[in-house]
Amino acid sequence: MPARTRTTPTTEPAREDRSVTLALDRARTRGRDQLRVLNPRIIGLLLAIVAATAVFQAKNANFLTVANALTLLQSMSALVILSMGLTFVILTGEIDLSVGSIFGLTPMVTALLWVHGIAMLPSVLIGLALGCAIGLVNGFIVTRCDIPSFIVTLGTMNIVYGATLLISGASSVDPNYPASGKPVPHGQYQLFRDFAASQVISKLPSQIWWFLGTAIVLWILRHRTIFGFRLIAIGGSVESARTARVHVSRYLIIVFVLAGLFAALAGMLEFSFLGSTDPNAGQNLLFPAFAAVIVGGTSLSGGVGTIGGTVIGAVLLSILDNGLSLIGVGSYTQLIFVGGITVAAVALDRWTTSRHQPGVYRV
Amino acid sequence: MTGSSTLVLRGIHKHYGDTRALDGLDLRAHGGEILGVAGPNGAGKSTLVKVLGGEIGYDSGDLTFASRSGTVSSARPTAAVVHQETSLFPNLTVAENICVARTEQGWRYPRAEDREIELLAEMHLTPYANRPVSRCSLVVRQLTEIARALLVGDADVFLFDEPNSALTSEESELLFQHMVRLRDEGRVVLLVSHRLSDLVDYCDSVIVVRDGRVAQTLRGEDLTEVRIAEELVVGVDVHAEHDLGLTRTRASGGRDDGAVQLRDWTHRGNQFRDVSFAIPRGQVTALVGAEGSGARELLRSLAGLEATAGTMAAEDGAKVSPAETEYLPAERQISLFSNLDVGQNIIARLGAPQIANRWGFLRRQAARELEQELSTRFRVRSPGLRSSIRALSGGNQQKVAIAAAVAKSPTLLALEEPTRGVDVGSTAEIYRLLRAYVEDGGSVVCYCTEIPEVFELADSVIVLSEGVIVGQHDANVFDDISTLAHRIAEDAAGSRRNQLSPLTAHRGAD
Repeated sequence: MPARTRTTPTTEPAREDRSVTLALDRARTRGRDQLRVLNPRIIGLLLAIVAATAVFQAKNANFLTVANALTLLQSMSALVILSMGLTFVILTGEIDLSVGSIFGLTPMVTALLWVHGIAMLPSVLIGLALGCAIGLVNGFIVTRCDIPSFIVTLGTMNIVYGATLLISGASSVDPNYPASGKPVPHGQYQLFRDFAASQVISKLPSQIWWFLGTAIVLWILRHRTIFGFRLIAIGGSVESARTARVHVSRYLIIVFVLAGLFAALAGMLEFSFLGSTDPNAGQNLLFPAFAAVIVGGTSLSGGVGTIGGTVIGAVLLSILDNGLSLIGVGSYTQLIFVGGITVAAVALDRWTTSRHQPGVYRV
Repeated sequence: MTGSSTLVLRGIHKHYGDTRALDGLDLRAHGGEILGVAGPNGAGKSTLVKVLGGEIGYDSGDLTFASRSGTVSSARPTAAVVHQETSLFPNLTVAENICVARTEQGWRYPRAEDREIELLAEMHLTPYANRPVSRCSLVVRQLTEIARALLVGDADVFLFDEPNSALTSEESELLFQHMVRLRDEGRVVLLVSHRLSDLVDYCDSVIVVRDGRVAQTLRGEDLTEVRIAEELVVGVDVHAEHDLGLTRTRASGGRDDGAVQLRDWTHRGNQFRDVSFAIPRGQVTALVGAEGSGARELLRSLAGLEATAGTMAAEDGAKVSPAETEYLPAERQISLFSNLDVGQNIIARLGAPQIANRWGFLRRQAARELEQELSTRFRVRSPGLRSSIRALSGGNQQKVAIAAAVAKSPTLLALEEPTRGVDVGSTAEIYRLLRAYVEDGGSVVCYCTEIPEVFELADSVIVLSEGVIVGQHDANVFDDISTLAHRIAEDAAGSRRNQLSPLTAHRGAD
């Protein structure tokens, strides 16, 4: 074999040089890992929560009371659970506008099945399954027909809301005094109310335990499973994910199902807590849910976001909602506040991150 | 022409966190000259391009620009950047793209008038004037970009940033012809390229950027490919390469048991037909062919990304699934994840059992060790595994991409232009890493557009032309690049002479 001349020499850094770099690497890696738990975004949100609390407390001494804290925790539960499900969809870069309507339809279906003679538990399970089914339809149309999820879920949002109004006759259903069918057995009704309204430990309504439980489960799913890792990969670049042999469509369908399931669960718990269900439930929840996810640091273009961020975002929005009511600001003004906060949070985030980010890919 | 302009940069600094991308860079570019910019990976070349192109600001330093009309200012001049991704409106036609910024017609829908029509003719764009940009070839888009810059801002500074890495030689000649014309009009022209021959052929002087400053300026007799190559690798052990050459010859002589055998492999879209060859284990196989020869599609088909008929089997006859191939596209936008950090990118292709248990829970300690191991093995130079992939230079990004693919221990590793847009130093390093990988028993197939790459990297060459194999060679028998280049060119040319109508002659393979 003849010797070959080569035109491109090689680079080889000195050995001790490299080991030093590696040691530094490891040190930095550890440091950043710890830092990541409390990223600037979360710190900012916590500061905002403290500031809001201080203002509300100064205006109304009833704000920082145990009773109000319990009310606050209970009332935010539905929002948190719904928003966490939505976070998974947004992480992939898709969007789901139908979650608010699913929140309204599923307890309505459960209530109607129940008063028409089906037992409580099967009715509840059918309701939850319906949430999954609507998510499945969303995901299926988005992936198979290649239609943007905004359009698909804009459609299903209205279809589902229309169906809710249709089956309920646009009036709320109380299983004790139904407009059609028979009142449900008292024992079953009590059991159903206990899901969310019972006080298991001291005076905490059990809905709060649902909220904490789902938060832990979804945090694990997002941050400690290969599923969560692949979702952010898909959100970063669908093309790259396909190249890496990730079954993108399958993951997208799963996130829509998750969003549907958690919207249904949130709706069901609200039904359980209130004891009756309203066809318009959830219609006012869509914007706060998106706001919680976005304020919590999830990027609408996908690939970036945490469950913790969404929870804290929802806490901040609920505090504003609760506090503004307590100091007597009307609900119209509250809308303006929530809208402004959402835009401001994103603007602030863009402004702070763009100063550290070195451009795009280098060639 | 009123005179020539001058662009002067003095002590430009730019930091990204702890990294000093530009560390007191001085540069003087005169109108009427083409200034070449060369530099190894991560030297600050791309940062310089972004600063000049106005994409990013700089931390400190002076920038002065004297325009052709004589005004001197410290504001950044309108620099038009010509690179692979153009900033045109893909939905508009070439003519409309040029007219986009015109204001003379007031509120009316803009229409090309004398000035534009003349310019289109000058730029050889007349045949494409009414074609949407999305359906034009890259060189047409680049020429459109130049035309627009001339018309809109009467741009005085033109920055050609690796403009021809995806062009054929005829196309790049056409592009460079216009680059020379811009120079002759007295404009400041900078050419950033990793192709040393382009720098020597077209530039009046070349600066070599190293560690964020200009390490050397070459002009006149000093301006040769060898000198640039030497400057690029100052402080590097040049003789290491010969060791590589020797071990490599030994290894490829010893093994050629086939990892994968293709039989009657035919593309459903007729890009290639009845292709049969073996991909040996422990070797690098290069697929060579111009755009449209089917070579690129053939590579993609090995990973199941093209619809094909035929069989792909192991030596013992067992069917090999395309899923056992890891494919790395040439564009890093679709091989990497910009939102993930360096470490996450390295393990992005893995699943259970490497980084997760069978229930899908992440094995974080295992993942971290794997990240560390692979980044060391592939010599990824980064500020840390947790830093953004975007903070890395092109060569290091490519190393991360290769590490991610190798991590899956694929039957075949299919690489499309493995060193596109990577500087000389990292290119050699990537070749060596790939050689080490095949010597451990891996199989690599790559689609190459450049003959030096085939010469440096491959053990065997398969030449495609118009969808069929027209030549198959042992790359190790060629003593120098020009013999190899000559042979490959002959194969391709010979096939065109012999086949009157390849499309009809080979129909009906399914």
